[in-house]
Amino acid sequence: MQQTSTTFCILVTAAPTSQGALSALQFCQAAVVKNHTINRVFFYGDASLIASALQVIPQDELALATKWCEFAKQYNITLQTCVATSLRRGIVDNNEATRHALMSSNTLPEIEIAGLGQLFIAMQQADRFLQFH
Amino acid sequence: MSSKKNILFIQTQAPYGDQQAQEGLDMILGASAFYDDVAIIFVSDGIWQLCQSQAPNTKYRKELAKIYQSLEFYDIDKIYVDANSLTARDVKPEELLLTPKVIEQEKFNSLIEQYSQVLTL
Repeated sequence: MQQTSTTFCILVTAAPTSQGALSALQFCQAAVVKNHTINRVFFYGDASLIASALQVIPQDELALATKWCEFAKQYNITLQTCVATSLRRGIVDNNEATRHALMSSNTLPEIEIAGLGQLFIAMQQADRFLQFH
Repeated sequence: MSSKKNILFIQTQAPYGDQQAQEGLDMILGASAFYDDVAIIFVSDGIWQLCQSQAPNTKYRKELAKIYQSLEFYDIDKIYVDANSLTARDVKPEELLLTPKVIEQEKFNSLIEQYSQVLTL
């Protein structure tokens, strides 16, 4: 029996410390194992905090951001965080640090800062859109 | 594909308790450039976002009501409000901005089914 492949666009609005953020990763991992495609994972609102490279997670706890980065590299998945909700929360890449004359940047290299338009385009190209809230 | 060009936003949060209502609204305005058909339903404490008598101290917070009143310029005119949420909070439809259409519980599901993509904030 031929298995059909679905293209998913994932929006995460759940803060990194919440179950929703973990469920999003688990869903994505399960989807790629079943040969589905994830055309985008977009972090919005409190979820944008996942992009900070300055998180220190105790060794006996799950480092969710590290897991996202490993997942993105392994399956070549695009991870993006909204520019507006990121900047509001002190999540800044090199470009934004230069533009706003900030003392440093702090984003994980695997998560890029992007505008909302990028999300809507990915949503319209996907077969299914899922939000983890 | 035109079938994907419609989106429903579910606004669930009170306007000034945190940033969620405002960030939801930012998303709605952004979506209007990409979708022909954008609808909003206000549910639970989200109905307070449409309260006519809101008067935040604008020194501290942006007044969401003002932004909502600009929705017509974005061609967003499908505005719904959940009937149960109004009753539970003793709010009458005529006390709300944008004259939303009141949706009974049993029609809620069929509204969601009309939209190919649904987003909650």
